[in-house]
Amino acid sequence: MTTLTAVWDRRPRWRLPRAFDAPRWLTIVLCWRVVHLLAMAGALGWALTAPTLEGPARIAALAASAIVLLLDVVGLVGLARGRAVGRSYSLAADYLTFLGAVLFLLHVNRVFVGLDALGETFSRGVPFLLLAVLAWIATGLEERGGVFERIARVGRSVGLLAIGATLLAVGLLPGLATFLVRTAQPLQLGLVVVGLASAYLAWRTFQPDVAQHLGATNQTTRTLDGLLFASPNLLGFAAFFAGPLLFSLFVSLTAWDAFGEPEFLGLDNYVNILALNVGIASGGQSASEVLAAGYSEWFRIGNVVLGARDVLFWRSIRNIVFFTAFALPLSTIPALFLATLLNSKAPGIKVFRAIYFVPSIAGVVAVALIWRQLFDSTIGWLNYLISIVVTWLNAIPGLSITDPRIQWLSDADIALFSLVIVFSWMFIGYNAVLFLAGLQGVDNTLHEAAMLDGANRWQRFRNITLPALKPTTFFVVASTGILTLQLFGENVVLFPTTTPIGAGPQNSTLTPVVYLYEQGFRRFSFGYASAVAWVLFILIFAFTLVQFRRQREDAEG
Amino acid sequence: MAVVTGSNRRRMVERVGLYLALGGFGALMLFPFLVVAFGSLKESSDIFRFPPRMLPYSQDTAEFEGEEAGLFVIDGVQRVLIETIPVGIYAPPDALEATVTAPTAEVERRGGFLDGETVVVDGEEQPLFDVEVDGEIVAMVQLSSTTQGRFAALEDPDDVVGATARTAERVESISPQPENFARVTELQNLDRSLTNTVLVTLLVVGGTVLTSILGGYAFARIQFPGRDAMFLVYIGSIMVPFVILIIPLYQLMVALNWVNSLASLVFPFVFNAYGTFLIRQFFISIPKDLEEAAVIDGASRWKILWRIMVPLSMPAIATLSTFMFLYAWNSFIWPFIVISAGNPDNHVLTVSLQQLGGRAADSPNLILAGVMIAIAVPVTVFVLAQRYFVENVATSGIK
Repeated sequence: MTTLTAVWDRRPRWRLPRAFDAPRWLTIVLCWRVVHLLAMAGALGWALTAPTLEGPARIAALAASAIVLLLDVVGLVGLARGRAVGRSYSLAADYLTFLGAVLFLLHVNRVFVGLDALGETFSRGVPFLLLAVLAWIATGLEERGGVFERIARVGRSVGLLAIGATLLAVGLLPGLATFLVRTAQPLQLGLVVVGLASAYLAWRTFQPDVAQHLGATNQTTRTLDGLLFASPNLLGFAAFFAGPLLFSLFVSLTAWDAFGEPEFLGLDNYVNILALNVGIASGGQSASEVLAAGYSEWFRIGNVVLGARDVLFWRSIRNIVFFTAFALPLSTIPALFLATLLNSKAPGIKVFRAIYFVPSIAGVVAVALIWRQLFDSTIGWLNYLISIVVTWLNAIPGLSITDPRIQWLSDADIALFSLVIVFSWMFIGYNAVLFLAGLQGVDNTLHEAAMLDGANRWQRFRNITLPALKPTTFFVVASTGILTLQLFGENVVLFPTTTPIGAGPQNSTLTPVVYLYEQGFRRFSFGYASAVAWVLFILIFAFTLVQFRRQREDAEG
Repeated sequence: MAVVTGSNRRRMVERVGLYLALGGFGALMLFPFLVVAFGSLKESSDIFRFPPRMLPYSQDTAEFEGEEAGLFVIDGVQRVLIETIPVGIYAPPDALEATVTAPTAEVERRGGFLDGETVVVDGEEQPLFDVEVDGEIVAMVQLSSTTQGRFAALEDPDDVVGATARTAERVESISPQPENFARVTELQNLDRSLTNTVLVTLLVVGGTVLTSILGGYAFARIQFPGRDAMFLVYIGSIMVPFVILIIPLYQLMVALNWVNSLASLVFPFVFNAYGTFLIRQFFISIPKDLEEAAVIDGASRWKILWRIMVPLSMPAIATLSTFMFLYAWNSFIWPFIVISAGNPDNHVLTVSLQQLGGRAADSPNLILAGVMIAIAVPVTVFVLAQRYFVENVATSGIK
């Protein structure tokens, strides 16, 4: 960082010319607003009618042009009346136009997908990049003085050279050349012109003299500054979170296979997912005889048959409830116990903390593959260790246990519990470190006072530690629960050959996300899959809310 | 004095108990990694051996009549396998425990091949065979079959004995097979996946840090109307699970033509509410007097941010970097959806590894080598920057 800022400071001081004084400039901006407004109205019309635009592309184009059009209108009216608010909206419109032109230029020149080509050449740059990192570390030594100062100075030049070498090695020059060649086309050149013009317009309008002329307050300046700094996040939020979220809600109300226009269904998807039906089977009647048409058996208790329209979905709900009921306690309660052990001053405790943490950084695919090896029913370690224990136990007179030889991954009654083991193993250590952070915040004086009163260890844990840990416990349980309810990766890695992928033997590990994937990306029922996603979201939200309520009540009561 | 030694002893016992419990859990966490580390160095026959063992072994070889042959030891003599013959285990139908081993080639069906005689044993009809026992032909049923090996002594080729080939004791020594790594890299294009993963991770970490610094500064230091409501909504997005975004985001990738491209793994993920939150909290904790001096000097917000705020916030930036590093390196569900169907050159490690797990089910040693490649970088980074990982967990808990 120091290297970069040093270079930045030594850059030549050259400022863009502020053509025209403020009043004349505002006239220009006003004219430009009119042109811009007409162009945006045209864009909106095109987005409404263009036959080449489909689904999300049309919605995005409509939303973008409508928003900028609105900014244009307010900006135009404001400027015409000589109000500062006109300048703000005008600035916003020009800033967005500039960003839009740049991003669209990069898009049509295929710069974003050019990352794939960079992936091919990137390995050539890695050694230089490592050198740059080393050099950067060396520059940090400057404060130690003496020889280190010289090392830091050398490091700075080496770092700069290494960054340059990295860029050259990964193909900066051919990339730039390709970019320039591609830019020499009418559309691209138009975008360059629009981009440069908007940038200059925005910059010039931003200058203090224009603000002063319109009587803009400090508050306005602050607002513009704030929005400018927050704009990457806000635009990213709109493009990759809020927009998709609304789109998903819309799609969940339609039947859509990603080709053509979605067909509006209202709440039909939700009804089909959730519909249940109860029948009483007497005298050996089959499920189809006692359930309404379109329903099939989900499960039965005695004579009572519970039917569902979408049995697979309800199967996934049952699986995930079972999974959570086991995985959640198994990955949190031992973690709390571990954290109390770790919360001591004994030497070497940090080593253990680090070891417990490792499974959570290995990543779900690696962890699942590791366990697949251990789970192997003939040569796996797990069955081998079990059979050793069984042999030991059988040495006790009167005991004779048969070696279970568990089919961890192919027995439909076991597979879900195998997933519980994998999940819990992965997150116990992580949760222990979370609990440890909470424990270290517990006031020690309370403990000392309780000790003087003769409270034993368990009493102190029950009456002081646990209540003080309430917020941490809420966080651990809520975040782990959110993970368990979204179980997917472990399934796909451990059961890559079942249909649906990840569903395990006889759908015994079919989870809602596995089902969502099957519906969306195997059967291309995007509307239905979106509805499944929203139902799951509501389930997760309800779970979090219940946890939150419990924490509240306990804290108050 | 007696009381003091008593409490000392109690503390000692407690310490031992503590370390036993910690060590037990530690073994539970480490054991699977040891299986991977050693398993990735095993040869194929060794990883399929039962009972499993930790260290990688392979059979010793010796030169026998001009060729390299695997070494066995039978009754203390080093031997090599020269021939295998299929043998059957036979027994008379009325005395099934009196078994006899004979080469299947020397045994014939009683009554000829086409209409051989049968006998009912335990309610099942079984064919009868003529087996020669001590010069006599006896009618027997076949219980099982195996392979008999003929082993010649290494020192004396004429000294040949027979033994069951499968269970004959091999002469083995520890010999790791590092070429597993090269083989799996070639098999699944892991080198390219590794570079792609590094590239994606660097861009996601760098991009998130950049946007979070800018956004965090706006939300921490620039007072403007609607700021706090905006921040609350933005932070609220952390609560929304990613599954809900899978389908619309995939459609957005289709619209942008980013499906099967690394772009789909980078750009949607460089705007992170958690990162903005983390940096904002840190910025708020920095005393304002530091900036005021710079404001008096006429420095712009941009300059204040990069020259004063950012250098002071390196711990928070490091924490955020480790968080995003793990997130980008290990993310699976999204890459599985957007890129696993396309050009394998654009795969990242998690996707390659998942496919390897499906393809190379018959060579677990190679799968484990792939796992080693995938976890090597995160584990190294963890060892080097452990403090920030733990801090990251701690701060995420406090919020």
